[in-house]
Amino acid sequence: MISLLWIPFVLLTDLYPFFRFGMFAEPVREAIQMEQFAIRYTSFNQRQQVLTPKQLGISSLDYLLRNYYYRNQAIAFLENIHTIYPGKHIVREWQFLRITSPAQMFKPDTAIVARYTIPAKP
Amino acid sequence: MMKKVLLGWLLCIVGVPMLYLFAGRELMLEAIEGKAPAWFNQILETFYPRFAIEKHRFDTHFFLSKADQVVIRFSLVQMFLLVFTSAYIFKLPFRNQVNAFWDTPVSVRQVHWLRVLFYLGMLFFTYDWFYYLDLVRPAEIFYKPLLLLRILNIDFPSVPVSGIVFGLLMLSYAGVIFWVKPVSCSIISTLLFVLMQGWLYSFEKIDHTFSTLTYAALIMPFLVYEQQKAFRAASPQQAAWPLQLIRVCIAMVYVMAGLEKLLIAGTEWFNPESFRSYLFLHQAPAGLWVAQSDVLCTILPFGAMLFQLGFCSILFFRRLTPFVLLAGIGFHAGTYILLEVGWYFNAWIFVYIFFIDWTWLDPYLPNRQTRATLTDGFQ
Repeated sequence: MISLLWIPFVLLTDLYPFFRFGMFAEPVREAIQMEQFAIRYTSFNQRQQVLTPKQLGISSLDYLLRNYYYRNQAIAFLENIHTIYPGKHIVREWQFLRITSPAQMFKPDTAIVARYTIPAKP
Repeated sequence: MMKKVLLGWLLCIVGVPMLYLFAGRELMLEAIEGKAPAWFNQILETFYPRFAIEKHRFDTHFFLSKADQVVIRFSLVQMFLLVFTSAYIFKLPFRNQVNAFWDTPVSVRQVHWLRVLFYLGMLFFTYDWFYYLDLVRPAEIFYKPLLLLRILNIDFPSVPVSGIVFGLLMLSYAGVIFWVKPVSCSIISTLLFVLMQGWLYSFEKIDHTFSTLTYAALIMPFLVYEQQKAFRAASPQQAAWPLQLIRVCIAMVYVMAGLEKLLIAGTEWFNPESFRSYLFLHQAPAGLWVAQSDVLCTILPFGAMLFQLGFCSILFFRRLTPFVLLAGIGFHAGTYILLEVGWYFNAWIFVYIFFIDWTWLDPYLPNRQTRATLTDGFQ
């Protein structure tokens, strides 16, 4: 058991049900940019709405967004979101947003990194 | 013969970094460039699933330093084990101390209270897991099972399956608390707890909220088994090794968290700017207030490190227990207040029950149960 406990420490990764405790271990410097992700939809009446994790029932939404972005799967992510979103009948387009700013959060910069337009019904 | 084995072990400890320097680093570079052999990519995918994501975020230096860390940590842990084993074999007083640590018995009363408190705590921390599973159900499309669930080929559960698992989990807690098939129930509760937690963590985020609780849950069946053995032998005392193991695991978690900071950030971690940056990132009102003070931004991370590395002192100096546990409560409360991570009453603080003597609760035992404990047991 004691040996198993140290494996995640040595390999620098969680091996559930054994964990690595690296939180707050990386020194943060101001030069490092803050990076956040969000999703937003535009409805047919041109209203824009940013979705929160609570609205989707995914508490790990932030992690999912980051992972899909860096796996170059942002459009696939938006397609999945459209599949599961209960209010999808009013959505015309989904947008995958990347928000960057310095660590102290002055002047955040928002970029749309992917769009998914709902195909018109035949 | 033993000396030859230890010498061989030492050669392995020296050989692994050598092998890494000659071949391993090159393989890592090839993996970053996407040119590594398939078997190496497979190992990386298994043990470092975030590599595919992080190689777009970080530079080569980041990954090479990570690979260096793995080799350094492997050597450090092996070196520690070698020194410990050598001392155990060749130094009789040390061996006696180690044996005494594991062999000292504990009263069945103490374990009775620990058992009841622990499973009541498990109930408290997991009573809403069926609700949370139901909450993430619409997002099942994002389900990506953890390695353990992948190996066991376990999918995300349907409503009836999660309902049955949750019901069995609750019943197993009750079984251990009320001493109905306690060993079987404690094993079932551990398996189902790990399973349900695994389902909840299979959305690309592992949470450490219940890590120490998980370790305790993995060992508790052994403690319950030893208690059953003591009851059957009508003994007022039982083997304490599972309890000691739980304590060692909890202490090690803190030590590992401290070592992570030292090995990754080094002295940079003590720089007040590092702590200040964390406070700015989390934007908690109390944290922003603390960020204005150089003194606090120096003292607090230093104190946190001292606490994490010093937590293991509780294993050897029992008189320090109240001070270490109070420091632990302060540490977790401080993390919540300054960084908004965790909560006041979290599972990390809850597992401190294993360091407290609960026999003062004995007068509150029902008479019938007290008699049964001392004479015939519960079988």
